[in-house]
Amino acid sequence: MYKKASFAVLIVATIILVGSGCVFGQVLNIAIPQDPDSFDPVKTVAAATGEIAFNIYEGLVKATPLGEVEGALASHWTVDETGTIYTFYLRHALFHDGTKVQEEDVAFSLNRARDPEVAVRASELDMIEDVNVVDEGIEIRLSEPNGAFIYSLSEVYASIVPAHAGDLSRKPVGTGPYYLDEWTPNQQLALRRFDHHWSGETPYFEEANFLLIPDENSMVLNLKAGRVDLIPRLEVGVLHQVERDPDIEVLSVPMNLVQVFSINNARAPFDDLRVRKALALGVNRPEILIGAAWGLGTMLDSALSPAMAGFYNDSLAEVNPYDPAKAKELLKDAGQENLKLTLTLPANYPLHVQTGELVAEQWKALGIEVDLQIVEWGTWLERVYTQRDYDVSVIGLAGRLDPHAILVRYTTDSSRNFFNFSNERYDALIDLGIKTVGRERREVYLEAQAILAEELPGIFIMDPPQLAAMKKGIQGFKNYPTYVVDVASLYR
Amino acid sequence: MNRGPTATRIWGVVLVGCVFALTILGYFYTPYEPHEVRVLERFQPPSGEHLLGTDHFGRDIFSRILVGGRISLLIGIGAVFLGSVLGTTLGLVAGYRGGAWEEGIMRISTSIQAFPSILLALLFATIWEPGIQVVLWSVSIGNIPNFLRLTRNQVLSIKKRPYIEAARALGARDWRIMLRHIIPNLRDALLVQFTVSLAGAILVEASLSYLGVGIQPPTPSWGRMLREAQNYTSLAPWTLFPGLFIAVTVIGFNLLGDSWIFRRDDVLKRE
Repeated sequence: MYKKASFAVLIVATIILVGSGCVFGQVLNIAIPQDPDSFDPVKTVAAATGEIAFNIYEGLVKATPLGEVEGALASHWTVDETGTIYTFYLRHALFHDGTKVQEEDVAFSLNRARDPEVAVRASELDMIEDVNVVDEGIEIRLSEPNGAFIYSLSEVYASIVPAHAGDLSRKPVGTGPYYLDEWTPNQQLALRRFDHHWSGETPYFEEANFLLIPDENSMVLNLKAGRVDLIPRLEVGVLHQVERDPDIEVLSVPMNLVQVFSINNARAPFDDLRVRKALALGVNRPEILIGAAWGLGTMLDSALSPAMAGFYNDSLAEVNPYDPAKAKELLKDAGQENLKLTLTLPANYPLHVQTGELVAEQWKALGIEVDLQIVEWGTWLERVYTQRDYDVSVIGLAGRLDPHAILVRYTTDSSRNFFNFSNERYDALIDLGIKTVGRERREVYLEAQAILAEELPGIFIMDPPQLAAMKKGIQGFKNYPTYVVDVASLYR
Repeated sequence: MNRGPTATRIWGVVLVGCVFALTILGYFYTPYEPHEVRVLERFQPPSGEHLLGTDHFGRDIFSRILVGGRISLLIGIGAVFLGSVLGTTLGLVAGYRGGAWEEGIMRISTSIQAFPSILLALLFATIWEPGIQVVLWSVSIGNIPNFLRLTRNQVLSIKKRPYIEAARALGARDWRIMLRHIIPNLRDALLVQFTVSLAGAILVEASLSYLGVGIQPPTPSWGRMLREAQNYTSLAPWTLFPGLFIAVTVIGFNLLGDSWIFRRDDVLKRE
């Protein structure tokens, strides 16, 4: 009798446990390769952080999958006739800690984001002259009209945080559809649904866990085993492991990333355009697309990805075709028949390393002696990006919403110009582009792209495929031209 | 299988001989240029055209194995030789001189032993760039204690033998005693240690190249080839052939070492 009773209790307990599982809502597990650096929006530089922070923080405006901006915390805004005074009007919205978003919070956040003492990317907001709270709105004054301004407000660094917030680096407080519940470094980040989001919409998944899995093979095994539901960025080399799995779906979309062979334009003999042109004509891009990207990438002829449809210059295909005979001729003209160069590759990006290996063989066919140097990411950043002490390298430049943010790095004075490229006409065009609006702005950037293709600060290779692998049944994956995962749009 | 000394020796000689023969062949002939990229022919299975198939860049795996053997053998032999010379010298001094010399040298040996070769290599790879020198130095330094301890122990037992005392009584100097009377008696033990260490060194080179701190592309090495193959094992299992060659080489050297142990035991029995 006693036994029977305990059996009944067991059954009831099981039913309650199983039932409550359904009641408690859904959990989504997402695999990512590396830990975020800091959740303080003005301190982070890693794309990996932006990917998660997109769900936690919001700015006055936010990016859409089409690459446009729409109101986020701002319900609407006005621009005066000079194009220099923007006035934003806030929605009723709450921070994760329950306090209301006030105009003062916005002024605090933006002033903090443009303060070079605190913010690492303050220069990206240096068009702002002044931020003021006016009746029922926030007024932002620019030094001159700026086409890129509205887009920069959608970046992580322009996120709105409460003025009373403490250290945000480990405990972010934002307004997004999810908040960070727990962060176990090198293991996982547990996000929970924020039930008081201004939109009034309730995302399907109550919990979203970002699991840190550095190895691409382990990611795939976890996906197959069901421990992971979504790999937002699957390494193309392991695609074949999931392609034929009936329980897994893979979406391939452009990444809006420009893979480029950067050439040190300040160093002889690469300061000679003939040498750069020879290197460019010696690159067989179709071969790279097959050999390194499994035929899935998009070939690039420009410094912009075709994903930037409104500004992409599609007439540059014939500027640098594969022509080894002409390349050899140019090397001969330049007196560089025995050219030797060092190709520095970032070890943590298999795609760039493989691309480098392939091009090294293509250049060897021109008689160039190529020394491959595969270095750790830290060394790469230090040597190539910061000190600019290199011959040639390969890297991917992450996409932004506005062409200015991408193209400004090739101007003579840019701190991000690790190409050491310098061209007066180009600098003038980029200056002009930011002050121009409408159709004329497009013309300016078309010419700027043409200059880059002709003068070759580097050789543009491809926009690699972004592969999102997910368990069958996961729906609503939205692809953005920026580096984010939009958890709120997903459902099962 | 007959595990007698003869069978062991024959198998050892055959396996090592094959590897050496193929590696030497690689200097004169490869079916394809080992660096030649043909992306349209990537992941071809083994066939008459490509004996062991092609890799992710469409390079001929057999040609790359032929050329890659050089690295394994040269690094293995070079590094172990360097380690054995240093280790034996130090061991001789420690065993023969004794006292503070012995104490000091054995302390150094113990501290080297605390670091496995792989750890040493990772350390070197942060000091220098990853590459051949990292492998060479970490393997040879890692091998010093093996030879050092072996030599010292042997010297301790040999130096008490009557013929050494006789030589000393006849007025022979220390270096002469070491060279003429001690080293020849160490030969067999050192040879055995050499082959065993060689097998270990080849494995360490493969592991280091696999970890990315060893041989750098485009130079093919068996370990590096395995690293590049790891993503494609289900798609193109033939990319794992370099692993088979590593295994054969290591087993071959181990068998050779065993056969020397047998031989030495035979000699001792006869004595």
